[in-house]
Amino acid sequence: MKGRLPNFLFLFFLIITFFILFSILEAYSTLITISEVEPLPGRSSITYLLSKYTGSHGRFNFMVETRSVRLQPTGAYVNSAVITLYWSVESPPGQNGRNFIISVRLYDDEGRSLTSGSVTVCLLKSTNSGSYTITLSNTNIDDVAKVETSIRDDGHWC
Amino acid sequence: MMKKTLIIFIFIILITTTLAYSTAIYVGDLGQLGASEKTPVAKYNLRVYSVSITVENNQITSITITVASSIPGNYNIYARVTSGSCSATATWNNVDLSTQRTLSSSLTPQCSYTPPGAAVEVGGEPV
Repeated sequence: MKGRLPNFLFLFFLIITFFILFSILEAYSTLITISEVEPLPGRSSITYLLSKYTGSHGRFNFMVETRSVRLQPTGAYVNSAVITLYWSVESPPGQNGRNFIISVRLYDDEGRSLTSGSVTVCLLKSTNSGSYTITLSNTNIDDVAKVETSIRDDGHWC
Repeated sequence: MMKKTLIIFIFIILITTTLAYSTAIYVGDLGQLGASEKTPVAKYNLRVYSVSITVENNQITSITITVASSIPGNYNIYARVTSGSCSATATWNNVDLSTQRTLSSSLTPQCSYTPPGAAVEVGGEPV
């Protein structure tokens, strides 16, 4: 019995050692899998806010919708945005349409404004859609977490 | 004699491995495992270049997005359109984002496009 005890302890020790080594190697291979094979999310989602405006001036009604927004990249940087609008504008006789201010603003993950731009456009009552380019300062596309458009009545006929 | 040598050998392996592992974690100052400066974790940034909605009879019927990723690979992509209290989601599975991709899908339910507008969230994760 005395002769067998060390053998038993030795086997027990070997098994424990095997499990410890196996666990360490398993953990290490998991680290490699996580860090090198499957990329982790830096930014996994981006939000676009497409605005719609309805209003009136006297008996004349206006409706302007943002139908699409396209960021124009040069390499990794965005320097303009193209907005496509659809509208329905009523105007008094002698007036072609109504001026509206179209804006776009880019935000980062913390909600800080990265860049913005706007353009005043005359939306004609004779047509109902068009695309407009808004110039932005150079912004890294990977910093952009939110793109927000807005439409404001300029208050003038055109 | 043989047994003692083996025990000592295993002890040395154990101590060395433990020291190496604990040193790696200590030196890396890890906020997350595997993210030390020497072994940077690959992080992907989804890039959404354009969002376009189709509106028919004041209902948002479909969506088109142009999407890319900072790390090429296959991704599952979704676009969630929210207008007022209505929400509709389109999904694309196993999309190869080694280059920019334009994805289109019809939306169900069809939400009314009401002021102040619609929010479109585009997201994705590696397959």
